[in-house]
Amino acid sequence: MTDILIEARDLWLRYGAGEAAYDALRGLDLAIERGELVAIAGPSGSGKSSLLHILGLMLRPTRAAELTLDGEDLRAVSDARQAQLRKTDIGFVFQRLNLVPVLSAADNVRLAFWLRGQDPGKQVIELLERLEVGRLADKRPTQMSVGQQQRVAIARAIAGRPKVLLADEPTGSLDSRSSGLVLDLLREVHGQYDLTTILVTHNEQVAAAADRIIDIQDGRIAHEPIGARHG
Amino acid sequence: MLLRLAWANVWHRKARAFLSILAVAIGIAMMVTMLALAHGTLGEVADRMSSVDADLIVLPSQSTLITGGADFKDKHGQIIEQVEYQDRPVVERVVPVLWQQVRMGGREQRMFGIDRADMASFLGPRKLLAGRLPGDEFAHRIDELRRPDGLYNPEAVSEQDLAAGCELLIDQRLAVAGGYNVGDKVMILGRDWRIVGIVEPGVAARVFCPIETLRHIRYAGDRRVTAFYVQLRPEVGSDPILRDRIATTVGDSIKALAEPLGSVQGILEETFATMYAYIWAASGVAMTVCFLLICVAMYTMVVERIGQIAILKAMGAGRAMLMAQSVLEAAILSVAGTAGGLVLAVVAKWVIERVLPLLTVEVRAKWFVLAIVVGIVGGTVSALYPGWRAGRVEPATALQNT
Repeated sequence: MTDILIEARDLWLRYGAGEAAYDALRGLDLAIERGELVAIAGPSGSGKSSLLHILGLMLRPTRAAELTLDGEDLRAVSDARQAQLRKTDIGFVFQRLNLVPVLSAADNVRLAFWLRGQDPGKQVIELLERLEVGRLADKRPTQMSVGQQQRVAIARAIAGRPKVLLADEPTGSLDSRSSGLVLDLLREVHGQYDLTTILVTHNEQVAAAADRIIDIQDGRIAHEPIGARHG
Repeated sequence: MLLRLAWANVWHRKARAFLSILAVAIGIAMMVTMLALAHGTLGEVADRMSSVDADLIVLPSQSTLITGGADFKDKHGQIIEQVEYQDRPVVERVVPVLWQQVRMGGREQRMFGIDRADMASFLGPRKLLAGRLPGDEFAHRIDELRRPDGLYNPEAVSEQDLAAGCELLIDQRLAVAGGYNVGDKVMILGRDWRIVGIVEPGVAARVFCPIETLRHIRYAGDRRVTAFYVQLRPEVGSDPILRDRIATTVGDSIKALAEPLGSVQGILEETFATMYAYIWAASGVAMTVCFLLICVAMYTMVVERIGQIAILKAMGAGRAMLMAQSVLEAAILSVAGTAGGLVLAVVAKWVIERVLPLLTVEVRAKWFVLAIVVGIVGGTVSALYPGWRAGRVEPATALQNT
């Protein structure tokens, strides 16, 4: 029996109105099981980031036949409940602009714990050390490389153990070596923290690191490549 | 954590934070200083006016405490002395004073012409710091010249006699303001007057002279009086209700205006109500401009930090938290600005009292409390709109556009 964590049916997202209206998602269906590491792939403008933002409760779909997170219907939840779910159940890693620039690495991670209402104790330093950026705890983002910032962002995203880790082009600003390291790290924390991880990428190599690849074209799921579902 | 984030954001933009703090500080200092200056100066005048050892001040009905106006004749003093209340004499002593506006120490001053014998009523416990009191030789000379009808021939007064009568007693603050010392000469009413003494501040006038000298120069010896200070008998003077009733009786006796000296402060404040309204309005405008500046600074911060706000929202920060962060940042600026403003107000008091020693800056605790309340409430209110805007940021759109 499958354990579906995220489910969407007939998901639509429209930007603009009138003649300028544009459907970023067009009746998309999706189901993600608990513990999966899924890559959402597709070309620029295909709607993959929009989908990620809807799954991360930062955007509301224009309409949907079904949209659930761990069984909770997300279509009509209040803004406050959305914020609460983002706080407790979801961790984000973005391509850039990941960290609060005025705070140190440690405070960025501490902020996540604080928002989730948890006392981090020594977990902040432990997390940073586990992601090999412990020595940067007191550094601000401007004093770190992009790769180091991504590591801190991952630490912050998994602080407090969310159910879902959403990563939007997490290697988009990195060279190939750093990309490999960040991907390895994402896979590692995915396993260690029992996360359900959704990666958005237009890079086939990055997508290949996932258990399953969902290919999006023009706002719909084009197909799931044969053999893409691992495990 | 919220405070740490707010502090980090403020500290990140030091120049803007400093300018915002400075704006609030100037506004607060301006408000406190204006209030302290107005109330202090008026209070000091009222204190001086009521420092005379008397219970009532009697002015011609067309006169005011501020401007003076008409004059009495000396005989009115005799009528007041005879006033009775419920068939009992109630007046102990009547002291005539002739006011004259003079320019000393760079400002207009009200010179009191009084009899040497009445000097003690005006000086009270205040000490003579230098020199002596103005002499009464000129008054004696005039008495010698008076005819039975009380008048005298002004032509009979020699320049030498008059020169001996042109003596001034000034208070210490005027001496400091004008750089005057005992022995200095001052031109008043076209004549040289000699400063013969300096008294501690707090006396009714900053300048005193012999009343007969002033009468001779201004009115050719006509015994005019601008105001009478009336001392009541102890048994009635100590009862405020009785004193008010007797004041009415005294006023009616010569169809004049008689006010208890204790009510001078209230009369002055009433007279200057428009000035207070202006000060409050000016303070309000100044503070509004300051807090609009904070509002603009906070709003600019929101616009600049749209990416950071989006990240915070993605992490689950709700509108209340973003509002709280905005309010906290504004509060940091306002509290720092208010503290700076209070320090500036104290510095302004110090500077004003040294540069302009005739002004009194009375910084009362209640102005400080008012400034703190205005600073905190104003800072909080000015952060509401930027905080509301921060809460309305759409994180997905913001992340795509930044």
